[in-house]
Amino acid sequence: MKKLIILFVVITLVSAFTVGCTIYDDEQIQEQAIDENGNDNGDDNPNSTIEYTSLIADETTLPTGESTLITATATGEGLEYYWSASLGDIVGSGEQITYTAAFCCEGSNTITCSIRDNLNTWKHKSVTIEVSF
Amino acid sequence: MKKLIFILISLLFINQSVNAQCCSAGIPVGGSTNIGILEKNNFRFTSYFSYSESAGYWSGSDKSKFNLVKRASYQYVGTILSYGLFNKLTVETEFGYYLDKSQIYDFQSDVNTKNQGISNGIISAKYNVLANLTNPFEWTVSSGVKFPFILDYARENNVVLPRDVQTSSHALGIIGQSFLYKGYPINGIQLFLINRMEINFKDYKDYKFGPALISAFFFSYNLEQSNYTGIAQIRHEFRGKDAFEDTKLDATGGHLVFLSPQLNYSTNKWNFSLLVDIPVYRYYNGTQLGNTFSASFYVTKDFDLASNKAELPFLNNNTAKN
Repeated sequence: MKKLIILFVVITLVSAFTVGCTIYDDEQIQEQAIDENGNDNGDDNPNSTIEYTSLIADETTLPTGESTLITATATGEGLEYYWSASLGDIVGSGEQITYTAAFCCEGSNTITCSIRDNLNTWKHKSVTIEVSF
Repeated sequence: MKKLIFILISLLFINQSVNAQCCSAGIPVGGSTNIGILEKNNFRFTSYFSYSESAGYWSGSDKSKFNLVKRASYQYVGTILSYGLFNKLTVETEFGYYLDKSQIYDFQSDVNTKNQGISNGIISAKYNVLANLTNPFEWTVSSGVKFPFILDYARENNVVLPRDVQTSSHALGIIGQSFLYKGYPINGIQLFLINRMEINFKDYKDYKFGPALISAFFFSYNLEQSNYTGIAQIRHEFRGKDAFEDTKLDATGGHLVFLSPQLNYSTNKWNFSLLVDIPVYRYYNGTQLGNTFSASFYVTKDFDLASNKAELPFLNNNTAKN
Protein backbone atom coordinates (compact mmCIF):
# COMPACT_ATOMS: atom_id res chain seq x y z
CA MET A 1 0.00 0.00 0.00
CA LYS A 2 2.87 2.33 0.76
CA LYS A 3 4.11 2.07 -2.80
CA LEU A 4 0.71 3.03 -4.12
CA ILE A 5 0.61 6.07 -1.89
CA ILE A 6 4.12 6.91 -3.04
CA LEU A 7 2.92 6.50 -6.63
CA PHE A 8 0.20 9.09 -6.07
CA VAL A 9 2.62 11.45 -4.39
CA VAL A 10 5.14 11.04 -7.20
CA ILE A 11 2.49 11.75 -9.83
CA THR A 12 1.49 14.86 -7.93
CA LEU A 13 5.05 16.08 -7.56
CA VAL A 14 5.93 15.37 -11.17
CA SER A 15 2.85 17.29 -12.25
CA ALA A 16 3.69 20.24 -10.05
CA PHE A 17 7.30 20.16 -11.25
CA THR A 18 6.17 20.06 -14.86
CA VAL A 19 3.91 23.03 -14.34
CA GLY A 20 6.57 24.93 -12.43
CA CYS A 21 9.12 24.44 -15.16
CA THR A 22 6.86 25.48 -17.99
CA ILE A 23 8.16 28.49 -19.84
CA TYR A 24 5.81 31.37 -20.43
CA ASP A 25 6.78 32.04 -24.02
CA ASP A 26 4.37 34.93 -24.49
CA GLU A 27 5.46 36.70 -21.33
CA GLN A 28 9.09 36.27 -22.28
CA ILE A 29 8.40 37.74 -25.66
CA GLN A 30 6.56 40.66 -24.10
CA GLU A 31 9.35 41.36 -21.64
CA GLN A 32 11.93 41.29 -24.37
CA ALA A 33 9.80 43.55 -26.52
CA ILE A 34 9.15 46.29 -23.96
CA ASP A 35 11.94 48.85 -23.64
CA GLU A 36 13.18 50.55 -20.47
CA ASN A 37 10.57 53.29 -20.81
CA GLY A 38 7.78 50.77 -20.88
CA ASN A 39 6.95 51.40 -24.50
CA ASP A 40 6.18 48.54 -26.78
CA ASN A 41 8.79 49.62 -29.27
CA GLY A 42 10.77 46.44 -29.07
CA ASP A 43 14.31 45.67 -28.18
CA ASP A 44 16.59 48.73 -28.28
CA ASN A 45 19.67 46.59 -28.78
CA PRO A 46 21.88 48.68 -31.09
CA ASN A 47 22.99 45.53 -32.85
CA SER A 48 19.44 44.68 -33.87
CA THR A 49 19.07 44.14 -37.60
CA ILE A 50 15.29 44.58 -37.50
CA GLU A 51 13.61 47.47 -39.25
CA TYR A 52 9.97 46.93 -38.29
CA THR A 53 8.09 49.24 -40.65
CA SER A 54 4.44 48.46 -40.04
CA LEU A 55 1.75 46.08 -38.88
CA ILE A 56 -1.39 46.69 -40.91
CA ALA A 57 -4.80 45.02 -40.93
CA ASP A 58 -6.83 45.20 -44.13
CA GLU A 59 -9.94 45.75 -41.98
CA THR A 60 -9.89 47.18 -38.46
CA THR A 61 -13.62 46.69 -37.97
CA LEU A 62 -14.77 43.16 -38.51
CA PRO A 63 -18.22 41.54 -38.41
CA THR A 64 -18.27 38.27 -36.45
CA GLY A 65 -17.37 35.34 -38.63
CA GLU A 66 -15.52 37.45 -41.18
CA SER A 67 -11.77 37.45 -41.59
CA THR A 68 -9.09 39.96 -42.42
CA LEU A 69 -5.48 39.81 -43.50
CA ILE A 70 -2.83 41.30 -41.23
CA THR A 71 0.59 42.00 -42.66
CA ALA A 72 3.86 42.69 -40.88
CA THR A 73 6.41 44.60 -42.94
CA ALA A 74 9.99 44.40 -41.75
CA THR A 75 13.54 43.87 -42.92
CA GLY A 76 16.41 42.22 -41.12
CA GLU A 77 18.47 39.08 -40.91
CA GLY A 78 16.87 35.73 -40.20
CA LEU A 79 13.53 37.18 -39.16
CA GLU A 80 10.97 35.06 -37.32
CA TYR A 81 7.39 36.21 -36.83
CA TYR A 82 5.52 35.41 -33.58
CA TRP A 83 1.77 36.04 -33.62
CA SER A 84 -0.80 36.08 -30.86
CA ALA A 85 -4.31 37.47 -30.31
CA SER A 86 -6.08 38.46 -27.11
CA LEU A 87 -9.26 36.79 -28.42
CA GLY A 88 -10.05 35.28 -31.78
CA ASP A 89 -8.16 32.95 -34.08
CA ILE A 90 -5.05 33.37 -36.17
CA VAL A 91 -4.69 31.18 -39.23
CA GLY A 92 -1.46 31.01 -41.17
CA SER A 93 2.07 32.08 -40.26
CA GLY A 94 4.98 34.21 -41.37
CA GLU A 95 4.69 37.82 -42.51
CA GLN A 96 0.98 37.64 -43.21
CA ILE A 97 -1.80 35.88 -41.33
CA THR A 98 -5.57 35.72 -41.41
CA TYR A 99 -7.46 36.86 -38.32
CA THR A 100 -11.02 35.76 -37.65
CA ALA A 101 -13.38 35.85 -34.70
CA ALA A 102 -16.73 34.34 -33.78
CA PHE A 103 -19.38 35.67 -31.39
CA CYS A 104 -17.33 34.72 -28.34
CA CYS A 105 -14.78 37.34 -29.25
CA GLU A 106 -16.88 40.47 -29.80
CA GLY A 107 -15.17 43.65 -28.72
CA SER A 108 -11.76 45.19 -29.08
CA ASN A 109 -9.12 42.56 -29.74
CA THR A 110 -5.40 43.06 -29.90
CA ILE A 111 -3.28 41.14 -32.36
CA THR A 112 0.43 41.22 -31.70
CA CYS A 113 3.28 40.37 -34.00
CA SER A 114 6.74 40.14 -32.45
CA ILE A 115 9.73 39.76 -34.71
CA ARG A 116 13.04 38.19 -33.74
CA ASP A 117 16.24 38.32 -35.76
CA ASN A 118 19.21 35.99 -35.80
CA LEU A 119 20.88 38.04 -33.02
CA ASN A 120 17.91 37.24 -30.77
CA THR A 121 16.76 40.86 -30.64
CA TRP A 122 13.07 41.70 -30.77
CA LYS A 123 10.70 44.27 -32.24
CA HIS A 124 7.07 44.32 -31.40
CA LYS A 125 3.87 45.86 -32.79
CA SER A 126 0.17 45.47 -32.16
CA VAL A 127 -2.98 46.27 -34.07
CA THR A 128 -6.49 46.53 -32.64
CA ILE A 129 -9.50 45.09 -34.40
CA GLU A 130 -13.09 45.77 -33.38
CA VAL A 131 -15.20 42.66 -33.74
CA SER A 132 -18.91 43.31 -33.70
CA PHE A 133 -22.17 41.62 -34.64
CA MET B 1 -24.61 -6.80 -1.59
CA LYS B 2 -21.84 -4.39 -0.72
CA LYS B 3 -19.63 -6.07 -3.26
CA LEU B 4 -22.37 -5.84 -5.86
CA ILE B 5 -22.76 -2.14 -5.24
CA PHE B 6 -19.04 -1.57 -5.67
CA ILE B 7 -19.02 -3.44 -8.97
CA LEU B 8 -22.05 -1.68 -10.38
CA ILE B 9 -20.93 1.76 -9.35
CA SER B 10 -17.60 1.26 -10.99
CA LEU B 11 -19.32 0.95 -14.32
CA LEU B 12 -20.92 4.38 -14.33
CA PHE B 13 -19.23 7.04 -16.38
CA ILE B 14 -19.92 10.63 -17.22
CA ASN B 15 -18.44 11.63 -20.51
CA GLN B 16 -17.73 15.32 -20.10
CA SER B 17 -17.18 16.04 -23.69
CA VAL B 18 -18.66 19.49 -23.97
CA ASN B 19 -17.14 22.49 -22.32
CA ALA B 20 -18.14 26.09 -22.08
CA GLN B 21 -16.36 27.13 -25.20
CA CYS B 22 -17.58 29.04 -28.12
CA CYS B 23 -16.35 27.09 -31.02
CA SER B 24 -15.04 23.67 -30.36
CA ALA B 25 -15.67 20.18 -29.24
CA GLY B 26 -14.35 21.30 -25.88
CA ILE B 27 -11.66 20.57 -23.37
CA PRO B 28 -12.74 17.89 -20.95
CA VAL B 29 -11.97 18.88 -17.38
CA GLY B 30 -11.52 15.21 -16.96
CA GLY B 31 -12.29 13.13 -20.00
CA SER B 32 -14.57 11.07 -17.85
CA THR B 33 -15.61 10.56 -14.30
CA ASN B 34 -15.24 7.21 -12.68
CA ILE B 35 -17.87 7.43 -10.02
CA GLY B 36 -17.54 4.71 -7.45
CA ILE B 37 -15.43 4.21 -4.39
CA LEU B 38 -13.30 1.12 -3.92
CA GLU B 39 -12.99 -1.28 -1.04
CA LYS B 40 -9.85 -1.02 1.05
CA ASN B 41 -6.70 -2.20 -0.74
CA ASN B 42 -8.46 -2.41 -4.08
CA PHE B 43 -6.77 -0.82 -7.05
CA ARG B 44 -8.51 0.08 -10.27
CA PHE B 45 -7.00 0.91 -13.62
CA THR B 46 -9.25 2.55 -16.20
CA SER B 47 -8.24 3.43 -19.69
CA TYR B 48 -10.53 5.00 -22.22
CA PHE B 49 -10.82 6.51 -25.65
CA SER B 50 -13.21 9.35 -26.48
CA TYR B 51 -14.25 10.86 -29.75
CA SER B 52 -16.33 14.01 -30.01
CA GLU B 53 -17.52 16.04 -32.94
CA SER B 54 -19.15 19.45 -33.28
CA ALA B 55 -20.70 20.99 -36.37
CA GLY B 56 -23.29 23.65 -37.02
CA TYR B 57 -23.95 26.79 -34.99
CA TRP B 58 -26.77 27.38 -32.56
CA SER B 59 -28.31 30.60 -31.24
CA GLY B 60 -30.10 29.86 -28.01
CA SER B 61 -31.97 26.63 -28.79
CA ASP B 62 -32.31 27.32 -32.52
CA LYS B 63 -30.01 26.41 -35.35
CA SER B 64 -28.10 29.33 -36.76
CA LYS B 65 -26.99 30.06 -40.31
CA PHE B 66 -23.74 31.47 -38.99
CA ASN B 67 -20.74 29.65 -40.31
CA LEU B 68 -17.10 29.96 -39.40
CA VAL B 69 -15.84 26.62 -38.17
CA LYS B 70 -17.25 23.90 -40.36
CA ARG B 71 -16.32 21.03 -38.07
CA ALA B 72 -14.42 20.53 -34.82
CA SER B 73 -13.43 17.21 -33.32
CA TYR B 74 -11.08 15.52 -30.91
CA GLN B 75 -9.73 12.08 -30.14
CA TYR B 76 -8.67 11.63 -26.55
CA VAL B 77 -7.13 8.81 -24.54
CA GLY B 78 -7.23 8.93 -20.76
CA THR B 79 -6.16 6.93 -17.75
CA ILE B 80 -7.67 6.83 -14.27
CA LEU B 81 -5.86 5.25 -11.33
CA SER B 82 -7.93 4.63 -8.20
CA TYR B 83 -7.00 3.14 -4.87
CA GLY B 84 -9.18 2.25 -1.87
CA LEU B 85 -7.19 3.71 0.96
CA PHE B 86 -9.89 2.70 3.42
CA ASN B 87 -13.32 1.17 2.91
CA LYS B 88 -14.82 4.64 2.98
CA LEU B 89 -12.05 6.57 1.26
CA THR B 90 -10.78 6.24 -2.29
CA VAL B 91 -8.03 8.37 -3.82
CA GLU B 92 -7.86 8.86 -7.55
CA THR B 93 -5.76 10.50 -10.22
CA GLU B 94 -6.54 11.07 -13.87
CA PHE B 95 -4.62 12.30 -16.86
CA GLY B 96 -5.01 12.13 -20.61
CA TYR B 97 -3.65 12.99 -24.01
CA TYR B 98 -5.28 14.41 -27.13
CA LEU B 99 -4.31 12.33 -30.12
CA ASP B 100 -5.91 14.96 -32.27
CA LYS B 101 -7.81 18.17 -31.65
CA SER B 102 -8.76 20.07 -34.72
CA GLN B 103 -11.16 22.46 -36.33
CA ILE B 104 -11.79 23.14 -39.97
CA TYR B 105 -12.58 26.72 -40.99
CA ASP B 106 -15.06 27.31 -43.74
CA PHE B 107 -12.99 29.84 -45.64
CA GLN B 108 -12.85 29.99 -49.42
CA SER B 109 -10.83 26.82 -49.16
CA ASP B 110 -11.02 24.69 -46.02
CA VAL B 111 -8.28 25.41 -43.49
CA ASN B 112 -7.57 22.79 -40.88
CA THR B 113 -6.03 23.82 -37.56
CA LYS B 114 -4.72 20.88 -35.58
CA ASN B 115 -3.07 20.21 -32.27
CA GLN B 116 -2.18 17.32 -30.03
CA GLY B 117 -0.81 17.04 -26.52
CA ILE B 118 -1.38 16.33 -22.88
CA SER B 119 -4.51 17.58 -21.17
CA ASN B 120 -5.15 18.45 -17.54
CA GLY B 121 -4.68 16.16 -14.57
CA ILE B 122 -7.02 15.59 -11.66
CA ILE B 123 -6.31 14.38 -8.15
CA SER B 124 -9.35 13.66 -5.99
CA ALA B 125 -10.56 11.87 -2.90
CA LYS B 126 -13.96 10.22 -2.46
CA TYR B 127 -15.53 9.63 0.92
CA ASN B 128 -18.52 7.39 1.60
CA VAL B 129 -20.76 9.31 4.00
CA LEU B 130 -23.68 6.89 4.28
CA ALA B 131 -24.09 3.23 3.43
CA ASN B 132 -27.09 1.14 4.33
CA LEU B 133 -26.78 -2.48 3.25
CA THR B 134 -30.18 -3.81 4.35
CA ASN B 135 -32.11 -1.13 2.53
CA PRO B 136 -29.53 -0.38 -0.15
CA PHE B 137 -28.62 3.27 -0.09
CA GLU B 138 -25.30 5.10 -0.41
CA TRP B 139 -24.11 8.66 -0.38
CA THR B 140 -20.56 9.45 -1.41
CA VAL B 141 -18.97 12.85 -1.77
CA SER B 142 -15.70 13.75 -3.44
CA SER B 143 -13.53 16.74 -4.06
CA GLY B 144 -10.43 17.27 -6.09
CA VAL B 145 -8.04 19.58 -7.83
CA LYS B 146 -7.65 19.95 -11.56
CA PHE B 147 -4.20 21.04 -12.61
CA PRO B 148 -2.63 21.80 -15.98
CA PHE B 149 0.45 19.97 -17.17
CA ILE B 150 1.00 22.81 -19.64
CA LEU B 151 0.69 26.50 -18.77
CA ASP B 152 1.77 28.02 -22.04
CA TYR B 153 -0.49 28.17 -25.07
CA ALA B 154 0.47 25.78 -27.83
CA ARG B 155 1.95 27.31 -30.98
CA GLU B 156 2.52 26.16 -34.49
CA ASN B 157 5.04 27.94 -36.67
CA ASN B 158 5.33 30.60 -33.90
CA VAL B 159 1.62 31.34 -34.04
CA VAL B 160 -0.52 30.82 -30.97
CA LEU B 161 -3.11 28.22 -31.87
CA PRO B 162 -6.81 29.03 -31.37
CA ARG B 163 -8.04 28.53 -27.82
CA ASP B 164 -10.42 25.86 -29.01
CA VAL B 165 -7.68 23.53 -30.18
CA GLN B 166 -5.53 24.02 -27.08
CA THR B 167 -5.24 20.75 -25.19
CA SER B 168 -4.91 22.31 -21.73
CA SER B 169 -7.05 24.78 -19.82
CA HIS B 170 -3.76 26.33 -18.59
CA ALA B 171 -5.28 26.97 -15.17
CA LEU B 172 -6.12 25.33 -11.88
CA GLY B 173 -9.63 24.27 -10.99
CA ILE B 174 -11.52 22.59 -8.20
CA ILE B 175 -14.12 19.88 -8.44
CA GLY B 176 -16.83 18.77 -6.00
CA GLN B 177 -19.17 15.87 -6.46
CA SER B 178 -22.07 14.14 -4.72
CA PHE B 179 -23.17 10.62 -5.51
CA LEU B 180 -26.47 9.07 -4.37
CA TYR B 181 -27.41 5.44 -4.86
CA LYS B 182 -30.68 3.67 -4.19
CA GLY B 183 -31.12 -0.01 -4.99
CA TYR B 184 -34.15 -2.23 -5.28
CA PRO B 185 -32.65 -5.73 -5.11
CA ILE B 186 -35.98 -7.54 -5.42
CA ASN B 187 -36.54 -6.34 -8.98
CA GLY B 188 -32.90 -5.71 -9.85
CA ILE B 189 -33.20 -1.96 -10.35
CA GLN B 190 -30.54 0.57 -9.33
CA LEU B 191 -30.93 4.33 -9.41
CA PHE B 192 -28.05 6.79 -9.23
CA LEU B 193 -27.93 10.55 -9.00
CA ILE B 194 -24.67 12.38 -9.50
CA ASN B 195 -24.15 16.10 -9.07
CA ARG B 196 -20.83 17.60 -10.02
CA MET B 197 -19.51 21.12 -9.75
CA GLU B 198 -16.43 22.56 -11.40
CA ILE B 199 -14.86 25.92 -10.76
CA ASN B 200 -12.01 27.17 -12.89
CA PHE B 201 -9.45 29.84 -12.19
CA LYS B 202 -7.79 32.31 -14.54
CA ASP B 203 -4.89 31.33 -16.71
CA TYR B 204 -1.89 33.63 -17.14
CA LYS B 205 -3.57 35.38 -20.07
CA ASP B 206 -6.47 36.32 -17.80
CA TYR B 207 -8.85 33.90 -19.47
CA LYS B 208 -11.17 31.95 -17.24
CA PHE B 209 -13.46 29.10 -18.23
CA GLY B 210 -16.94 29.37 -16.74
CA PRO B 211 -18.13 27.21 -13.86
CA ALA B 212 -20.05 24.03 -14.57
CA LEU B 213 -22.82 22.21 -12.76
CA ILE B 214 -23.60 18.74 -14.03
CA SER B 215 -26.45 16.50 -12.87
CA ALA B 216 -26.76 12.96 -14.15
CA PHE B 217 -29.45 10.41 -13.38
CA PHE B 218 -28.74 6.75 -14.11
CA PHE B 219 -31.17 3.88 -14.37
CA SER B 220 -29.59 0.45 -14.36
CA TYR B 221 -31.22 -2.92 -14.78
CA ASN B 222 -29.34 -6.17 -14.25
CA LEU B 223 -30.03 -8.99 -16.62
CA GLU B 224 -29.90 -12.22 -14.66
CA GLN B 225 -27.21 -14.72 -15.64
CA SER B 226 -25.68 -12.31 -18.10
CA ASN B 227 -22.40 -10.43 -18.21
CA TYR B 228 -24.12 -7.51 -19.89
CA THR B 229 -25.63 -4.52 -18.11
CA GLY B 230 -27.66 -1.79 -19.74
CA ILE B 231 -27.58 1.69 -18.24
CA ALA B 232 -29.59 4.69 -19.32
CA GLN B 233 -28.26 8.08 -18.34
CA ILE B 234 -29.89 11.47 -18.70
CA ARG B 235 -27.61 14.38 -17.96
CA HIS B 236 -28.02 18.11 -17.64
CA GLU B 237 -24.98 20.34 -17.98
CA PHE B 238 -25.04 23.98 -17.06
CA ARG B 239 -21.97 25.95 -17.98
CA GLY B 240 -21.46 29.52 -16.97
CA LYS B 241 -19.91 32.15 -19.17
CA ASP B 242 -16.19 32.33 -19.71
CA ALA B 243 -14.45 35.57 -18.78
CA PHE B 244 -11.54 37.46 -20.26
CA GLU B 245 -9.89 40.19 -18.22
CA ASP B 246 -12.83 39.93 -15.78
CA THR B 247 -15.37 40.62 -18.54
CA LYS B 248 -17.84 37.84 -19.21
CA LEU B 249 -18.01 36.64 -22.79
CA ASP B 250 -21.64 36.58 -23.89
CA ALA B 251 -21.36 33.78 -26.41
CA THR B 252 -20.09 31.13 -24.03
CA GLY B 253 -21.82 28.65 -21.75
CA GLY B 254 -25.39 27.44 -21.74
CA HIS B 255 -27.58 24.44 -20.94
CA LEU B 256 -27.28 21.02 -22.50
CA VAL B 257 -29.23 17.83 -21.92
CA PHE B 258 -27.85 14.51 -23.10
CA LEU B 259 -29.28 11.05 -23.32
CA SER B 260 -26.46 8.57 -22.88
CA PRO B 261 -27.09 4.88 -23.35
CA GLN B 262 -24.31 2.72 -21.98
CA LEU B 263 -23.61 -0.96 -22.45
CA ASN B 264 -21.28 -2.81 -20.10
CA TYR B 265 -19.69 -6.20 -20.37
CA SER B 266 -17.99 -7.65 -17.29
CA THR B 267 -15.86 -10.72 -16.87
CA ASN B 268 -13.20 -11.71 -14.34
CA LYS B 269 -12.78 -8.18 -12.98
CA TRP B 270 -12.45 -6.79 -16.49
CA ASN B 271 -15.12 -4.31 -17.48
CA PHE B 272 -15.76 -2.96 -20.95
CA SER B 273 -18.13 -0.04 -21.46
CA LEU B 274 -19.38 1.75 -24.51
CA LEU B 275 -21.05 5.09 -23.93
CA VAL B 276 -22.68 7.37 -26.48
CA ASP B 277 -23.81 10.94 -25.85
CA ILE B 278 -26.81 12.16 -27.81
CA PRO B 279 -27.78 15.80 -27.28
CA VAL B 280 -31.55 16.06 -26.80
CA TYR B 281 -31.82 19.68 -25.69
CA ARG B 282 -29.49 22.64 -25.89
CA TYR B 283 -29.56 26.28 -25.11
CA TYR B 284 -26.40 28.18 -25.96
CA ASN B 285 -25.73 31.71 -24.80
CA GLY B 286 -25.30 33.82 -27.92
CA THR B 287 -24.22 31.85 -30.99
CA GLN B 288 -21.92 28.88 -30.57
CA LEU B 289 -20.77 25.79 -32.36
CA GLY B 290 -22.89 22.84 -31.22
CA ASN B 291 -21.79 19.38 -30.22
CA THR B 292 -23.30 16.69 -32.43
CA PHE B 293 -21.95 13.40 -31.17
CA SER B 294 -19.63 11.92 -28.57
CA ALA B 295 -18.69 8.34 -27.85
CA SER B 296 -16.32 6.70 -25.41
CA PHE B 297 -15.00 3.23 -24.86
CA TYR B 298 -13.72 2.27 -21.41
CA VAL B 299 -11.68 -0.67 -20.19
CA THR B 300 -11.52 -1.16 -16.44
CA LYS B 301 -9.57 -3.70 -14.46
CA ASP B 302 -9.90 -4.14 -10.71
CA PHE B 303 -7.14 -5.59 -8.55
CA ASP B 304 -7.97 -6.88 -5.10
CA LEU B 305 -4.60 -6.42 -3.49
CA ALA B 306 -5.72 -7.93 -0.20
CA SER B 307 -6.80 -11.26 -1.64
CA ASN B 308 -4.83 -11.63 -4.85
CA LYS B 309 -1.36 -10.22 -4.56
CA ALA B 310 -0.14 -11.99 -7.67
CA GLU B 311 -2.03 -9.58 -9.90
CA LEU B 312 0.32 -6.70 -9.21
CA PRO B 313 3.69 -8.27 -8.47
CA PHE B 314 5.42 -4.96 -7.85
CA LEU B 315 3.06 -4.34 -4.92
CA ASN B 316 3.51 -7.67 -3.20
CA ASN B 317 5.91 -6.46 -0.56
CA ASN B 318 3.66 -3.60 0.44
CA THR B 319 0.40 -5.42 0.63
CA ALA B 320 2.00 -8.21 2.57
CA LYS B 321 3.09 -5.75 5.22
CA ASN B 322 -0.39 -4.29 5.45
